[in-house]
Amino acid sequence: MEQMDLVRLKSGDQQAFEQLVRTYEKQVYHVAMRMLGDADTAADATQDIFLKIYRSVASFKEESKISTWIYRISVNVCIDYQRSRNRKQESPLNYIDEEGEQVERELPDERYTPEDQYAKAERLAALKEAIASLTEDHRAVLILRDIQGLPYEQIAVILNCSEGTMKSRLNRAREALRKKLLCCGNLFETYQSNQAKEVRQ
Amino acid sequence: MSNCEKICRNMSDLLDSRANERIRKTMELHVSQCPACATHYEQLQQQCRWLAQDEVGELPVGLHEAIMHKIESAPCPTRRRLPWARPVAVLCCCAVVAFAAFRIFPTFLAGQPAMSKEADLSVAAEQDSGESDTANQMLMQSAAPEERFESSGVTRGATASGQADGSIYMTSSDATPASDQEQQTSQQIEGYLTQVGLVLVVEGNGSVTMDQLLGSVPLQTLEENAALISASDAAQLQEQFAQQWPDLTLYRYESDLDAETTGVIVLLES
Repeated sequence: MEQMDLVRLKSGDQQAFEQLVRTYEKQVYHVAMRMLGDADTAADATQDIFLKIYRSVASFKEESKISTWIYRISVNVCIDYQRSRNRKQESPLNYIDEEGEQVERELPDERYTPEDQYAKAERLAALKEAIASLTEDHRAVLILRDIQGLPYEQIAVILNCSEGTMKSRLNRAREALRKKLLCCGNLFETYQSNQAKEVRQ
Repeated sequence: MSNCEKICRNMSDLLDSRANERIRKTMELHVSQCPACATHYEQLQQQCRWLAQDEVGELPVGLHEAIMHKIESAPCPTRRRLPWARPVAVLCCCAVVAFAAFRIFPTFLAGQPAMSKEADLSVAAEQDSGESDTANQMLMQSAAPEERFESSGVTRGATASGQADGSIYMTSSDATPASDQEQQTSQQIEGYLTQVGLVLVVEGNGSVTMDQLLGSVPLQTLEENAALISASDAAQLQEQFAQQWPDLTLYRYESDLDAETTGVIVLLES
């Protein structure tokens, strides 16, 4: 997609744009989902992100990869959404309670027993809650690095900061998440005891 | 800073394999010998694994179509390329600059000897009005209302007028020098014109108060004789000024700043 015909995109070719949407919609939705923590809001944000991309693609200066540019728009739109939406949010735990079965259905993991699956769903819920409680900066850097797996250099461009700043931000974000997970009933211990149980078996 | 703190601060380098060989070995050695750092490191490793596995799943049904529908209903964003637009824009800019230069430095452009600043300004006033007698205008000096009626847009009683470029013609080449009070007033107005687009000056002669002029409490009192005024109040005051205070004079000064929001009203007592 990096070789996408930008000329066609910039000329307003809707077919080219649809191709771009197909290529990036999942990544964009995932970023929105993780940044906003709510499927409906993430879907709305995804639409707005692509609309913004469509409106501004003609002014894309090609100083970075198009994927970097798209991620940058995505993060910025999500931050705007986060700031503007009502602070009264659903508890991520409630969200997971409602969507827990869906997680099991979409991510079947045959290595685990139903008990393990429950534990996994519980862990995912705690993880989402912990991510949601991070600051915008920490959440963004963590999503881009640890969920999306982007390289440091690209993340620094997306977040419009130096690589050094990005690195220390990532370190602080990981540490903040670790502390929150420890507060959520110390999932690491649960995990370690499960691991030990597996080894014993 | 202890070794443990240093290790913890750079744990991401170890996690993402970004530390160089020497640092990595040092960190690994420390982690292997320090139970606290080992636990810390293992927890971060586990956390990263969980995050990497944390998939959102498939896109919601219909999201792609919703995106494309939104795009299709949006106007085409590409900028129309008009080949003649740039040269025309450049010509317009040149014309504006030339016009402004002619108005500001008419004597210089006409090749006349340099004059004092005051004389320059008075000549500029002359050029502006197109009538030689108006070169003698002093700030706040009354003149025939109709002289400035069109350019200032004041309904009645307008005499001296500010210019679009923000300059004010306040001095005279042959009249008596401006008094201290006039100079002070000029400076006051000039100062306001650097901050707002519109300054209204009322020559009150002590017969009217600021509250009476505005019909209410001023937006914000700036000085004893000056207050902020909203654009709508300014327009209303100008409309009604002639009827309400036929014996008084209203001056309007404009700069090239935005006059659409607020302006300043100055009430002169004498």
